[in-house]
Amino acid sequence: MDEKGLVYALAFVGIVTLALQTYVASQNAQKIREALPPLLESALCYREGGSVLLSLPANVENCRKIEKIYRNFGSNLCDFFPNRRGSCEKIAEIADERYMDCIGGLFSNEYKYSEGYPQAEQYCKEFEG
Amino acid sequence: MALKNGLKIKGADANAKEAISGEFSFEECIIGPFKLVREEPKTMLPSVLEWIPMLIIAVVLGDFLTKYTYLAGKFASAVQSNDPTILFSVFNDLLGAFIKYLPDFVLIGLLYVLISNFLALAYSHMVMQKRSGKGILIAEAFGAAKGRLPGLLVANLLFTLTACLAGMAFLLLIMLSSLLGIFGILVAIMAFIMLIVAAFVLGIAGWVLSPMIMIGGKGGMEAFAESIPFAWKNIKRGIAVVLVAFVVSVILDQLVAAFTGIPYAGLAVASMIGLAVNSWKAMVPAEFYSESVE
Repeated sequence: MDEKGLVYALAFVGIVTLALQTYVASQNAQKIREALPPLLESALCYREGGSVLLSLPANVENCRKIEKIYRNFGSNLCDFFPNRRGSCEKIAEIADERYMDCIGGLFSNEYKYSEGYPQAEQYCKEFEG
Repeated sequence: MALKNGLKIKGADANAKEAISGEFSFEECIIGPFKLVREEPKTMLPSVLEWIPMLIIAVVLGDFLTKYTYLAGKFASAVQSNDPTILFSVFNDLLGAFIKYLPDFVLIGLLYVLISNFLALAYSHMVMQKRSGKGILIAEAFGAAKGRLPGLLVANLLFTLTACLAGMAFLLLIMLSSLLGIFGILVAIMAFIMLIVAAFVLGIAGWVLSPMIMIGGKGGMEAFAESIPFAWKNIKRGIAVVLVAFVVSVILDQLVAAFTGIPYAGLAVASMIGLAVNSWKAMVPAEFYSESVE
């Protein structure tokens, strides 16, 4: 193949590959969007909003549950739920805060008490109690 | 300022001075490939071949998502119920999927190795074309790369085995040092320092294999045998070029990632910048090798 032909062939391969990649990536994103709701729904106690997380009694079992939510679902997850971004972010935020409280409680982290985590002291007493 | 043949050479003439005297030019290693991409945009085109394995990975991922999305629900119920048996079942299914897709992974890996080695040789040839003052001919570079590909594959295989053996030897040394008490701590520190130095030497050696074969005209075994002494001899400038190239790569890759997020035209713009960045990355080792041997 001559130089001009090769350049056109490479450009063609590039355009076709890029178009296919864009299409496949959008299809994959759609599949992920379809797969994630059961994860979020189930892991967050089948309800929207942070009230469930807030109302969970502070005990080791719940803290472990919250830790799992915190570790498995970061706020990036909310990108997949554009229609419910508000509540999703709230859940992520509360899970984050509660997780920190739990850590504060479990490891008696004095820094957490002084930095405005008043609930941690109570959890700590319960965990160590 | 410097004196050459009784004339004062300064500022922008420094590069010309280096070219005359055959001195190593750090600037040429980093900026040279950028200039080539800017002046000859067609040099970006061969990098599109690297998109082919990525497309196949996306297709395989799509197939996985179609067949295994049920695992998301299963995992969710495992989290919810705190039942380890469900979690074990999820991992079991994932292991089964991994085994099922293993042939695909191996084929994609082989394809990627072939394409990336082929491109490394082709870009080394393009650097050679530029430095010889000829125009860039991709067809000629591809023809030359095809002939040299088996040599580079042999060299890379030997190099990978050596790197693995060296890594295992250091690991063994560090494990043995734990048996030697206080003296062992010194041995472990020494081993750690040697590991860092070895990592740099091996990194530079692996980096210059393709230009050694293409520009240096060496065979696979010869390039492998000479790459480590070459890297040791040029360790200081090699580390400098590798580190600068790494920092520039990270910044440019971030730029590409930022463009990808922009709707509609973002992916196309990011892909174009990505092609330029990949072409630049592929040519830096060849420039470094050429500058070091001239």
